Amino acid sequence: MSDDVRELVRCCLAGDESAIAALVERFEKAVFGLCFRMLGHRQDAEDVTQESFVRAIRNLRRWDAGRAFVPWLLAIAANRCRTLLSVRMRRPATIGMVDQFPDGSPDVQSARNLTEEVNLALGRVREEYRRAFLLFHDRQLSYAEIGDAMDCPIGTAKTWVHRARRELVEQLRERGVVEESSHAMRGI
Amino acid sequence: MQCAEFRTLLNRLLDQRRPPESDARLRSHARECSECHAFLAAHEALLSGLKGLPMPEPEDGLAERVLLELRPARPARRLLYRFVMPLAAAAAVVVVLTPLWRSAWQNSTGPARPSVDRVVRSEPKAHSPAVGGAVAPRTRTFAESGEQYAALARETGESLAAVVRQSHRPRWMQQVASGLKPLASPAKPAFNAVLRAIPSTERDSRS
Repeated sequence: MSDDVRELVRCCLAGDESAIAALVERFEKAVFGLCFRMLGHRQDAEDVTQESFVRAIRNLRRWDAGRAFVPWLLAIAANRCRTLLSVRMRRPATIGMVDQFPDGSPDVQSARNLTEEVNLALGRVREEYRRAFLLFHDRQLSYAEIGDAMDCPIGTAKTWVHRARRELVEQLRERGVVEESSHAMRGI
Repeated sequence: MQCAEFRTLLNRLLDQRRPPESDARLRSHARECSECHAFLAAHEALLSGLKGLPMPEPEDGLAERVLLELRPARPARRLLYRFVMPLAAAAAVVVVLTPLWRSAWQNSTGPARPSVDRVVRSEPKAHSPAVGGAVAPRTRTFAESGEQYAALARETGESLAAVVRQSHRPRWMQQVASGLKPLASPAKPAFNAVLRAIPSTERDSRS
């Protein structure tokens, strides 16, 4: 972790409001991105992002400065998401993506189908697998950082990402999504 | 290359965030094995679909909202909870306990100057003439009562109306009233000063 984040955290602990604002602005996209992917609902993601930052800043003293800051922050956000998901009784996360693709051309239609299918499949895998998968492939965290964020050994984090990939791929194949993509891959 | 080896290698490449098509052995096996080809295509589709998932920007003003939630309660409310409420509770305790303490103290030492409630309480009950050898209660006449009230008023220095009013109050009320009297006059300006110090018209900026 860079020293400027440590310095930012030190200023936050001293009660500097401009440092708190800078910390939020620096990491809001990472936290919101994870919340949005996990919850599939913009307003819920906004609320959980805000709640996560408030909790993180109130508990900054508990952060071990010898470890990376982002996994610690994302762990708080992921826990808040998990709480909200349990309240929702594990309702699958779905994202309304129709408006994101106004063009009706075949390529765009195909891309829309693919993203919708991936999104649908993500909503069906186990919550831990989904979280680990998103942290690795979407948030670009390393396995060590995922282990930190999910409070599990690196091996477990790796296993969860692999299982998530396998389950997602199986779902895509079962739903015939791969056939279209497969045609495009004939050239490799 | 065996299919199991193909899958292990594919996972390894994905763990290293390298594109599967970058490995020549994988490409070669995928051309020969339809099952592994479909498996590879599914992974490509998954990662491609993941990249295509929409990611809206977080709403503006998140930092301000976080700061607002982190700020402590407004000063007036803090003042109310930290100082005014405990003071009011302490005052209530004093108001309740003082009459009882005064009563106990007066009973043990005896008053230097008779108070109305003490005189009224110590006054002997009026009795009616004896019937059959026993002493029967006697009803006081209006003139007798008036004389007694006047005598009490002279003795205590209170007005006649005050003596009559207090002699008909229940005992506990007489005790509380006598305890409140010395507290009321100094407490009133103090409470007024506290109320003036609370900025009650301030608007809550969080709402």
